[in-house]
Amino acid sequence: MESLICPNCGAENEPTAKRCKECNALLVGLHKENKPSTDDLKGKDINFLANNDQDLPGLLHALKQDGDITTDGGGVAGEGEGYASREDEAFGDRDLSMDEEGIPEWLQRIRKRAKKETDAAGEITQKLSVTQENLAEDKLETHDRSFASWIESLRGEGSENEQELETTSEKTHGDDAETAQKDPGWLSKIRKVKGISPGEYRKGSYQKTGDSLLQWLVALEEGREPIQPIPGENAGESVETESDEKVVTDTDSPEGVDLTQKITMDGKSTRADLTPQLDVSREEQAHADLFSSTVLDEKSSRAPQQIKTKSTNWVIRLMTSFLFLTVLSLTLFTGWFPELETGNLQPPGWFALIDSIENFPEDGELLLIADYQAGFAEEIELVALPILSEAIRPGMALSVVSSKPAGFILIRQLLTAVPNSENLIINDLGYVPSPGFAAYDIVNIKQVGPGVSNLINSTLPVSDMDLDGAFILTDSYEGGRLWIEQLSARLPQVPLYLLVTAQVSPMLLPYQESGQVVGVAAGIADSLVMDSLGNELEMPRLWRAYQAGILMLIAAILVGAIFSLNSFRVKKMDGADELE
Amino acid sequence: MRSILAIIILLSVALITLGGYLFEDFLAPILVLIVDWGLLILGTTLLMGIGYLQKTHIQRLFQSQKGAFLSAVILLTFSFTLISGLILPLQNEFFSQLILNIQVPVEASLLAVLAVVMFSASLRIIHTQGVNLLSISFLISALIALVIKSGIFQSQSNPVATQILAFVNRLPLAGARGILIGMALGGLLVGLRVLLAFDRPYGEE
Repeated sequence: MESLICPNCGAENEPTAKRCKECNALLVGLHKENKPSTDDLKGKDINFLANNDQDLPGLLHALKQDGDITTDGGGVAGEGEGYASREDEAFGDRDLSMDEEGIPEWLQRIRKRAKKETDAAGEITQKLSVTQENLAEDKLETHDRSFASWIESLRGEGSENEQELETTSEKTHGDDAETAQKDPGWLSKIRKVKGISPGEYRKGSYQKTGDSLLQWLVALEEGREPIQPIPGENAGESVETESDEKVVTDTDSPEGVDLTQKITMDGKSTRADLTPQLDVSREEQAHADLFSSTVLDEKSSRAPQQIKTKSTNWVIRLMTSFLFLTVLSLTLFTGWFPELETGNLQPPGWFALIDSIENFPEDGELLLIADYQAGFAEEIELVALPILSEAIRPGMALSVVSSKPAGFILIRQLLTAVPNSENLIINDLGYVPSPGFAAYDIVNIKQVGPGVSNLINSTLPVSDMDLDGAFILTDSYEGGRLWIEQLSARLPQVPLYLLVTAQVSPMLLPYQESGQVVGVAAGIADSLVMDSLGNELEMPRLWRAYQAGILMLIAAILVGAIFSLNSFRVKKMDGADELE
Repeated sequence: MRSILAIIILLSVALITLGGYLFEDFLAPILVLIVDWGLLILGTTLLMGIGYLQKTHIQRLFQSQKGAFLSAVILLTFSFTLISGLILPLQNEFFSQLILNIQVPVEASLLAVLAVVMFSASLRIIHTQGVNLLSISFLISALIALVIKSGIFQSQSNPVATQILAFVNRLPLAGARGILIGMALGGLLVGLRVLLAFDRPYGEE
């Protein structure tokens, strides 16, 4: 009996019907389209659905009318039978040869093929199987993901791959078709182990037996399936893995660790057991520790401590300065500082100096060399005034030569403080802008008389003068040395006396020991000794201020050294932190 | 040619100066002439330096650069001092007081500031280098010198302290003597090298 199958809904209609009784679809022209020729059926495989996926709903509808599709082998065979019966109904009235039982010839071929081949139903059943397998994989998604992370942890790929895997699995869960095209990495590796290429898997050309992916994974989990290395892995990656595993081998395993390890899984395994274990080298661990320490250091409250330290230093500096100024002021203006015991020890050559200047004749002639700056005038005055007061007698002739621009004015200022200086004869020999030139010129002027560099007010050469002594007042080591060397060499009969500042005396004292200089007086400490000569200087007051200032300076150096050392340590620690 | 001429002049002046210590009466006129020329050249260079300094301040003043006011002050004071020095003699009381009441306090203040700077520099040694041999020896030397100069431990009633202080006081003498001997030997060698034209500090190579 001939009937028409609606191509839209698959319902059976009368042969003469023009529209489907179910969906009212147009059935005109269906006779010619549904009558393939015998040659076509013989020469080609039935591939209606393969050529056009839009035919699949109709076929599924027809199959549903015969029963559910099963996944086992019988199901597949029955599937073929159902499909054959539908085809029989669909093409029952076609001009095909029939056997004696009334079964169409094409159906007999299909059944024969179904008996020979497991999946003889063709691509339709393959697609259905793939769909069912994807559904089964979705059900086991969590389980597979755990396996994937476990495999990834064994291969040392870290948690990033796991996240990618989860992302891929989520995409798989959301879109099955996309999952079929883009397999995750772990699935590709499993297929490599099983020897199945992705192309074969998608085409379904490999033999699907009971050795399915799920069964293999279950066997792998239960330990019945040996873990095999992945063929085609990168050699360099393997070397790196082995080198990293050596660190683990030294501590954990005496035999070394394979690329993958067999881990027994049971139902009590937790997520922590599946956490990827990263192999970290010592250098990487050091960097990680440094990063952690840096983060902790940045979070520490160090900045407020620095501000507190600076504030403390500022307060200490202010207090120290105030104390320093107060003590100095009290000692200078009120004599508050207690008088310390001083032995009034004479400086070296003191007695020779005193004896020499006490023997100056009343009408003697002295040479004064002014080689000091205006800034040291006070100190030079403290040192020189007691000695010059003892050495100079009324009516003496004083010749003054200067190697500093203001030398003569300073000497004259000094001489005004000397007692009985009203009748002094002062000859300004002038200014020579170089101690070396001046000393040499003084020595050599005796033969030629006045010249370009002549000493201005000299009527006689210095060498022709009957000098009883020469006083060198200097604040410069270089100037004092030049004067001493020139005068002691050219005028050896003239005694030389050094009246110098405290900073110069250590460098000029050797000339006293060598005999080139009779005596040296330097600084306030020596001027205190001069006070014993009976001059009316305010040395006790000045000396106490001097002592107080020195003690304050010593204290300031000690306190400052402690703070500087502390700041150096802080700076060093900061530098070490920056260097690390 | 210039180099040979310079060497000839140098050798002539050096040999005459050295010979003046041996043949004083014979070479004295030439020595005085050489000294006069040297002093003239030295004075001229000083004037050139002063002139260059004034030129710089004049340019800064007329170009209204930064610090023009200070340059104007410098020019005025320099002109005033120069004119006063040319007109008034050194014995003039006004000129003497001008020098003493300005130059002495200013230079004394600068030296006081220098003392503070040196004190700070001594502490900066520890701040920059920490505790090492140099910094510690420097500070200990400074402290010992200050203690000795303070006169606190100077006492005739304690002969042991006096001897210790005398020994400590001789330490700078030993160092100074070594420095002086080293400078003398160095000066001798440098003079010989210049005389033998191994070193030519007068220009070219």
